[in-house]
Amino acid sequence: MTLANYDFSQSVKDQDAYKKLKEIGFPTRKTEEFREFDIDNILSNVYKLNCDKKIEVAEYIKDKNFYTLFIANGMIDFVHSDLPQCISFKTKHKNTLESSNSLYHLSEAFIEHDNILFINDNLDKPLKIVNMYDARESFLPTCLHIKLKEGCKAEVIDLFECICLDDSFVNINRVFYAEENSMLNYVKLQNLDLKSILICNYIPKISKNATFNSISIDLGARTSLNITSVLLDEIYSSFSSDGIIRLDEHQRAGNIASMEHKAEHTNSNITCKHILDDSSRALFEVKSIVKHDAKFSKTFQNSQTILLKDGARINANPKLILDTDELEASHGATTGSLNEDELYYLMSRGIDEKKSTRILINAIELQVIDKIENELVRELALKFIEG
Amino acid sequence: MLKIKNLSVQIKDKIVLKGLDLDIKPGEIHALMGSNGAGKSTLVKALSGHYDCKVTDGEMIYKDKNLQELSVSDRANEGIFMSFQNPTEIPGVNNMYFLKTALNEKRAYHKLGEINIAEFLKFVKGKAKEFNVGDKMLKRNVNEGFSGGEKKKNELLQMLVLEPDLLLLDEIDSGLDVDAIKAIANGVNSLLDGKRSVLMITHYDRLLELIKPDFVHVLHDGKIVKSGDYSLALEIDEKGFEGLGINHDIS
Repeated sequence: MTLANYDFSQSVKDQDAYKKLKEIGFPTRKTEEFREFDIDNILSNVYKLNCDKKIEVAEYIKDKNFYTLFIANGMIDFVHSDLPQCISFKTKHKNTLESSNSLYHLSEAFIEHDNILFINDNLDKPLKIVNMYDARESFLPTCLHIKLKEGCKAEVIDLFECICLDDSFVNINRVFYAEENSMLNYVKLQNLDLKSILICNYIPKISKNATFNSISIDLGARTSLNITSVLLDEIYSSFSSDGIIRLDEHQRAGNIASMEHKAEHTNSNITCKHILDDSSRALFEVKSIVKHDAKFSKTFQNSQTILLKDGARINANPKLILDTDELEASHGATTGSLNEDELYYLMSRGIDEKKSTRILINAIELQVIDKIENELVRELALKFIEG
Repeated sequence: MLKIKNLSVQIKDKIVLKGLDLDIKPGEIHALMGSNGAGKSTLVKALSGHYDCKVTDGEMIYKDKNLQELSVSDRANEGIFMSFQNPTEIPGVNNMYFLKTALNEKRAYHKLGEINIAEFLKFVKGKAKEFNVGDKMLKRNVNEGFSGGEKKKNELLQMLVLEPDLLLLDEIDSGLDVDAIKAIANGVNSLLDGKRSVLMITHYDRLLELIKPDFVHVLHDGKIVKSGDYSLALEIDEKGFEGLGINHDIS
């Protein structure tokens, strides 16, 4: 199958999502955000739908400091997972959300039910979702809703690992519900096969006085995109997203985000540090809309890029659309190379250029890692960036 | 140890060193004096391989190796240590990690195994205590938020850990109080075993009293115009460069 010319009537499971997909249409290479992402090729590649190849999940060494949920080739594996009593799982009748992101509807169209993970209490250990893949030339749509009960706090890690993902396209939907007075801290760690494509469609639903914090670290995949749509329509709801995108060779990665403030005292903050080597390309396409009724809100956007080679490129478009005067807002984008004096200083103490460069990059990345509140998650992220 | 012949160095469009000659033998202490802009810092930067310095003529031979053929890090691992006049702050890089990495890089260069962490901690903390370098400095990021004195102490600590053969001290005394100068001088002197050599830049006699030079050179307009022993430094202190007939105007 190719997605662009697919006859969805054959296997579509959610007619509502399919209808919305048809209405919006697929992005094309003329769509500004996707210009660098060769989206036409992604959609016109020939894929098999899903992959039923078995992955030996049991061989994965679990860390006792974390609860673990395995998702193998897009299928949740409860047999090998280790979840506490306060986490329950239910499949519910499909409720496709409003979204202008056609890639969200693309995955939804192939999914019959909503898979919802309920976190009903404070988690004493972080939950690690281990997404494992072993597939070739496959299209793997997966959807998971995570619902955090009011007043609770949880740390959730989405770890993307693969045995093989040759020429495969993984299209993930993650819908988060942070109920009133809750705090959901989410960390995505991605280091997939360089022949793979990963698109993560995020929809955080944040209730009154609730907070959703996200940190994403994208190191792998040939193409990786985080597409986030946030609607802040409840007072004192807060969204933040920090990211590290470190690429080399011909990798492409980016963030496309839209944050819409509709209620008073709502906060959004999105920042990303891009470390781009060789001929890699990154995208920071972020839009904040603060409606007239969203007085006393705060919205911030910042893209920081280090270009290690002349062939690397960043396309940063932070945008603010403000319909009220009573707010705090800022947006910015900086692009540069590594500080020559810092590099020289390290080298003058006998550390060769390659290692000195690595040390300075790690130092930049650490600024993001240090924002992770939970020590265990922070250590995991640190090990992840250090390879 | 170091033989500089007819060295000319350009920074951007300006020729700063114009045919400089200098010979430093093992165990010798040389002091380099001169008015601002004479080219003193350029000389030590050129020796350590600073990216701004372009050698347009002459050569720098160190331990029978042409320095221009060595990278910045190789020069350091061969035993050249430049103490910076204004040490660079490196946010996010832990000082202890930096010191351990630098030491292990040097050991690897000389085909020695990595020092184990316990041994390293004992070694560094011992040096820090001996020369009154605060323990807290080790836990902070490299020079980040350090006072001027702390930065110079950090340079000293690196010197003590890396045990270089040729110490290039670029105004290591600037901005320090009397006690701090003494502490730095004690540290440098502790390294001087009759084999290690020093080339130090200073404007003040105070440091030279504590680290007695065998030779004092006056650099003017990119060349050494006068050399002598410690008494030359005293003469400069008394009469100034103009008193020695060295005109301040630099072409």
